[in-house]
Amino acid sequence: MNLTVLLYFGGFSLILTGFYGVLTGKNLIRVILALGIMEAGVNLLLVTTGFKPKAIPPIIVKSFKTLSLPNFADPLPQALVLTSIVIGFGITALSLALIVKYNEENGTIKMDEVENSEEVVE
Amino acid sequence: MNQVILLIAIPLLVAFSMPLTGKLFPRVSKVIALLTLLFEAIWAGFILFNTKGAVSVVIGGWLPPFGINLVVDHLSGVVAFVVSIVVLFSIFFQLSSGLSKKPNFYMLSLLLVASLMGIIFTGDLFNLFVFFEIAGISAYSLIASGKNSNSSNGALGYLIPASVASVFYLVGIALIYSTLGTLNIAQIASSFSSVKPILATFIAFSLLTLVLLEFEIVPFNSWVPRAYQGAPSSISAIFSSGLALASGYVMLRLGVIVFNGGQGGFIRTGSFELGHALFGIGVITVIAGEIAALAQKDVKKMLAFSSVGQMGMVLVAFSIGTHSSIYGGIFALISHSFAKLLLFLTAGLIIMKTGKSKYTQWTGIARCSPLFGVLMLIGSLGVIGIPLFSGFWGKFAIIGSTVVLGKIGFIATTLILAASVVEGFYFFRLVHTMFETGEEKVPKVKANFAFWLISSLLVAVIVALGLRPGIIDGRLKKIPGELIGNAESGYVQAVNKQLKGSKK
Amino acid sequence: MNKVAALGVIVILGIFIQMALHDSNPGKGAFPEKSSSLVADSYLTKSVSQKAPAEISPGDTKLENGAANVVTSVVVDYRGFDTLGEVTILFAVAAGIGLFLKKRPHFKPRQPGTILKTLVPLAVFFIFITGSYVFLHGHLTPGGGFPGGAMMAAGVVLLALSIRKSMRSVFFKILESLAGISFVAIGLIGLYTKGSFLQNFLGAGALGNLYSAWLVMILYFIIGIKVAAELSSVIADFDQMEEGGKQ
Repeated sequence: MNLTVLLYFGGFSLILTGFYGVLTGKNLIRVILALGIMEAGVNLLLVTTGFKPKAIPPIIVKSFKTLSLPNFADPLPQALVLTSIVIGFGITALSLALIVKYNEENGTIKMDEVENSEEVVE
Repeated sequence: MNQVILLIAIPLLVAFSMPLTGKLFPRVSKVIALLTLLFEAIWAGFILFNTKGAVSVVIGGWLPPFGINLVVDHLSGVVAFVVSIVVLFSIFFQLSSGLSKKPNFYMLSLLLVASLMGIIFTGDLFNLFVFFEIAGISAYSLIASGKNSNSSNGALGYLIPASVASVFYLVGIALIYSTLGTLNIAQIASSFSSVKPILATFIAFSLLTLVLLEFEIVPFNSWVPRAYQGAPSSISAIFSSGLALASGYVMLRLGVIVFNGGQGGFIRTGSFELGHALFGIGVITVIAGEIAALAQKDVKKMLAFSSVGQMGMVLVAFSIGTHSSIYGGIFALISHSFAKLLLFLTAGLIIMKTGKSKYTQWTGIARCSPLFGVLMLIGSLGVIGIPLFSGFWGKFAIIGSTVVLGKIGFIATTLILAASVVEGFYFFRLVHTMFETGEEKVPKVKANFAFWLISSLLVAVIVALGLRPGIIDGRLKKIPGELIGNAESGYVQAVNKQLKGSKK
Repeated sequence: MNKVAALGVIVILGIFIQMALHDSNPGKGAFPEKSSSLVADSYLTKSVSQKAPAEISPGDTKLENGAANVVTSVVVDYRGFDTLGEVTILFAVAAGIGLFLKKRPHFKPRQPGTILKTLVPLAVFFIFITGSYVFLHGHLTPGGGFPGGAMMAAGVVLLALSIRKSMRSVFFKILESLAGISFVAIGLIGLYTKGSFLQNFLGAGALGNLYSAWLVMILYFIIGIKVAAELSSVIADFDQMEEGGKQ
């Protein structure tokens, strides 16, 4: 099996696993963890798009001819994945803070209980 | 046109400086934030006034597709102008009502407006994602700043689906980069038809999930009622009139330019009729939104579901993709923005002063303070699309484009008309309740000068657009022509011209 | 959501993905034989706005971008606007948490032991040196402002845990603010001297030198400071919330 295909498979498996967790999770912390798994999967996927077998890192340490370019890895996906990781971090930090507030307001970190109680109030 | 970057850079600069100014001059910093928003509106107006056609502006001096570019054309100019006005009015209302004293609130609203401008102008698919995330993060925090006990519930209920959708958006980006090797929207647009059809469909769906989620379309809109109810009213107004407008704009851009390659007619990717799918989703959204609004007692939730219904109608118009339907869709979006802004701000003020959020408790409010009843009435008429008010012309153009479509056109026309009747019913129910004589005594609602200024301006806009749509028609009528071209749309041409210039 | 329904959604999505990736119709697929990137080679040969030189070697001075680390040149220079968005996201997170988290009653942690108290300053010293090294050499080696800033913030956390005094977020907020202002200001200087936002107005320097690729270096320095300050201020906000009552 081609290594690229394997990496794609890994990325999509992580995304789908995380998605299952988000869909079924009731505990908010677990949902955020599942989101983290999805983000890890998509980061793997992004970085795979720049994958070449036996490539060297795109850092210029010795001279090379531009016409016969050495087998550098594609730098753009690595730049994108950096952005995506930082965004993922931001989302996780913010959602944990939101969960703290949620817990203060509702006294629980489970999702469904609150929706039910809300209906009773109305 | 280089100066369009200031629309993004200046609010960022002011937001970054607010922790500093907030410490040194705590009172002035909020005023500075408001002045920045005023600058945004003026500058966006200036940009729009000077727009002659699609122009691409580079950032960092690197030509697309290597660097990131901004694209200014009539569509982005109009949308940016309306969004900047919406945010200015909402935040002015918030500041004058003295609700939020924290400087962070104004800081985040500046970030929100900067990111909305970025969403509107950027010509790069990944940059669009970054701006969607900034908009999202500021939005979650602003919702959570609401005083009622549902605010964190609303924020999380928005954060989780939006984050899942943005993961799928990134999947779309990864697949586009591995197949087409570029992230520039114009370049993708000219080569998207060479992608294998099923893959193209998957990419289209993964990109559109995020856009449709922000556009409040079924089945991605579960966040809407909770978030609108939890957020402060001015923020709900920004969601309904600003964020939804901007994402509708992105929907139009991606749908017509990228997936359809700038051709007119139903959007299709390869062999898949994406346009028909979007048409169906839109119709379902109209039905679901209006029925849910009818069943709601909470005024803010009712307004939220009414937005959902309107967005469904706009999606139907966009998916048809003819000149008149695109024109109608944009007109409807803009008119909805102004009318909903008026409704949300008025309702927000009433809820704030009386502490009653359900319309059944609003009995007799308009007896004591009739002007509020009149404002709600005018806003409602603007949304419903009664002749002489702004919503009419958008609906008129959309219906004009659906009736010629044959059988499905007949269904769509009937639904839009039925939806208007339903809308009319629940809005008049609301206004009627306000004018009824109640048993309880209701306190007189008073508003300050700022509110009267904002609301009278909005009423003037709604009535003026209804009486003489010609004032903005000149620019709006050019939009479909710029989007739909014979070989390439004007948008793609502008960027490609720049690309060719670079190869010399 | 029901587990069975969720599983159904996952399976349908998985089949759709499988069909999309192994689409047998004619056209461009997800696994091209050769990298389909239209931009990568231009980044590598530094030939975005000028013709590629025949040979690129360390010490070259006439390049359009002087960063030896090509990934960094993409992150900070070619796509610097994304990076401005990135630091804005961290800023928004810090501001947001400060906005909605209420100060809470005190939660008393256990006092740290002597070993921790003595050794932590030493460890933090090295962490700070490594962190600043990483972001100062971002244009030469892997790393840069984000990892470097995160390291510095980790040092701050360690300090906060060992000293166990309420951290003042004001200091970090001001640092963050200054860094943010200078980022946008550098962008605006580029706009008014060279014609486009965030354009390099400082020259490229010699490839591979520490003092090269001025814009990349300066921006990464700013980003490093900003990230460190932002992360520390997020932690300080959580921390202050625990201390409570004082403000």
